[in-house]
Amino acid sequence: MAIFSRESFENIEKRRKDLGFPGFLLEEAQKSFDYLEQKGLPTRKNERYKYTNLGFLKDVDFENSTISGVGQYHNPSSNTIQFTNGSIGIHLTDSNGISVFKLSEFSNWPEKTKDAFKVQFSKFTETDEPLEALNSLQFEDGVFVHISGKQSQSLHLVHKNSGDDKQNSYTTASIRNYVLMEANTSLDLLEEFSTLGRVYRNNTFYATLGKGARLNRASLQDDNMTSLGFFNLRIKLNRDSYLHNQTLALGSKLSRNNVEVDICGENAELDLLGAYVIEGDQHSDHHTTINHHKGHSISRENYKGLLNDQSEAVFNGRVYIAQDAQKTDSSQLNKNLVLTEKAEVNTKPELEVFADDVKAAHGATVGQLDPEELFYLESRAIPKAEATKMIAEGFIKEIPMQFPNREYQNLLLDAATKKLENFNLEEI
Amino acid sequence: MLEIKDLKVNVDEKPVLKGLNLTVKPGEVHAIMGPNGSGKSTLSKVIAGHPAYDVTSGEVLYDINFEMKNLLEMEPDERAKEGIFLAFQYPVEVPGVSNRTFLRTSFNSIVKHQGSSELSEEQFDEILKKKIEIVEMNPSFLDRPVNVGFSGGEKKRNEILQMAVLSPRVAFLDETDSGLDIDALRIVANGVNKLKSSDNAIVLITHYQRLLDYIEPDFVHVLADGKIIETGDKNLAHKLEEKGYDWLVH
Repeated sequence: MAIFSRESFENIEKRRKDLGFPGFLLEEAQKSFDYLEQKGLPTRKNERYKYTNLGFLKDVDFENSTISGVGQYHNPSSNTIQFTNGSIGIHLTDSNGISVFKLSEFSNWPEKTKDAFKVQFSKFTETDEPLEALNSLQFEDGVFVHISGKQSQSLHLVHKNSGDDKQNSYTTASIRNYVLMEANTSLDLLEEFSTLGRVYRNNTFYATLGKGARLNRASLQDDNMTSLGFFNLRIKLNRDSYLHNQTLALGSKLSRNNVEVDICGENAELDLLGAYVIEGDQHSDHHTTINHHKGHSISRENYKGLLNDQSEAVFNGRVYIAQDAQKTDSSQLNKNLVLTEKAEVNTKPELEVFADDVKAAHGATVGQLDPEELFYLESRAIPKAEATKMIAEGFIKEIPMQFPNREYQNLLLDAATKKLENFNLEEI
Repeated sequence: MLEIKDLKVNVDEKPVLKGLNLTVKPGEVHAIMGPNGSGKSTLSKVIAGHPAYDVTSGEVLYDINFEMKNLLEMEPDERAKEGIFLAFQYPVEVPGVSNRTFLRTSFNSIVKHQGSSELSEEQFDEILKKKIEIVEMNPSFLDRPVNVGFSGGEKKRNEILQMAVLSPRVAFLDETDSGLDIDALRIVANGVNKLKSSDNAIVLITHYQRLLDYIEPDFVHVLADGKIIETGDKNLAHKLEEKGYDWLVH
């Protein structure tokens, strides 16, 4: 299925060349184009897309990506990078040990930075994930963030995209970001998405954590209910490093998050969390992969889902433990609370364990509200709908409450609470 | 204040209450005792409005603003708003919901229904500080999720704390003494005695006489095979302690 014409592709390539994008990025895009032209988009027959139909993409106008943006957003208490329909605004309030470069300005970067970026780029260039390949073709711009200072930094990435409201058509918004954290650096990062109108967004985020580096990253996806949201996250952890990554998926009619974490050094630690709160006809798909290439590392995965109406969720958690990755301690949990009979969850663990001295636990549940809990609250004068929201909120809050940065944690909690407040509970 | 008339209740299609009658007036303390399986817990759950119980006939009339209304036609949260309270025998855990938030939401729901304005978090915290003294509870329990990881005694004290916060007009205490050691029993009983007044009524569902040494009943009823077969004063409880239930039931 040809979703991207050769002509569109050549137009984009020309624009990138004129802007001064590096040659190796253009070459990768060409490879992605060839790959997609050959393979097409995945259908239900492809195991990784069994439950998620990408048919929507035929309505995306891949060339229509610029509409006058929404107002400038700047979080005064944090370093902020705003992405609005492909244009980027950088506001650094504290630039100690943090430098941000736009990919479209590559030709003006210092040589050292160009070299560092080339190394990063080459680490993430092989992919058979079609949505990532699409991003390679489409992304309008992106940033390369280099963290090198001793003090802990914070960064707020705000994506505000807009499209029009024409039925059966989507405006494209596509960004590619890289983060390189030097040894023993520390960063709190919140990446937030909101949209107006019908937008198809497809973003990638590639990060490398140096020895002993610590990254706390949260992705707050609160797009409107007519949009399509795709995100490809790939992070590599070197020895002694720590990653807390959580996804809070609230919006989009159809969303898919591909998350891949490579544990490349010993004594690394990963907390991979997610929460999806969906209603109506929403479909939220989370495919995660944790690769333990080296041993003596810990991964804890915890995804929770809260579903109302006839919404659908997909969770696929792959854990690979290499033969040499002895003493790996890995655990995976996916718990779902379903408020209606029509809501549906497809949850599947995939464990590939080749080492013999490891712990690899996994579990999944899909359940409804406990009627005894509900009655307990009702017997204390709390009406059924409110009691349902209290219990549901208590259930899902566990995830955002674990985010280590207090300011960002509050933003996450408020967003989750607001989404839940608006749930229609008439049918319960 | 509360009149239970010829109440018949089925559980899983089996009759458990077979025509129970009971009248409770303000200021009274009633004890309901009886052998296992007699329907004691069923009675309190039906009064609270638990959905698993099927009332086949009878009425429960409750004085609301000087009019006797049929309690059985009201939703559980409406009954609670009108001052009905049940201290559960096995209080359930509610993960993710803090005790403090639960108590405040509950309190405000009742207070709003009765026409007063709701309290803010700070205002309610002031009230809560005094109430936890009634059950000698450590304030750290307030920020924990409701009943999660609480011992049996702590759960029962949490029930009495709720009673203290919500000031019900009729409180059913379902085997509140079961599983408690002497100290916990003393604290729970003290709490109940402090909350007792001439405007409210308390119905103690209990298997053992022991609790009645601490909370003195005005009436003792024996519930057997779905009906109240005998009513007396606190001496009846002593007799039951000595002789068991057999002599009455046959």
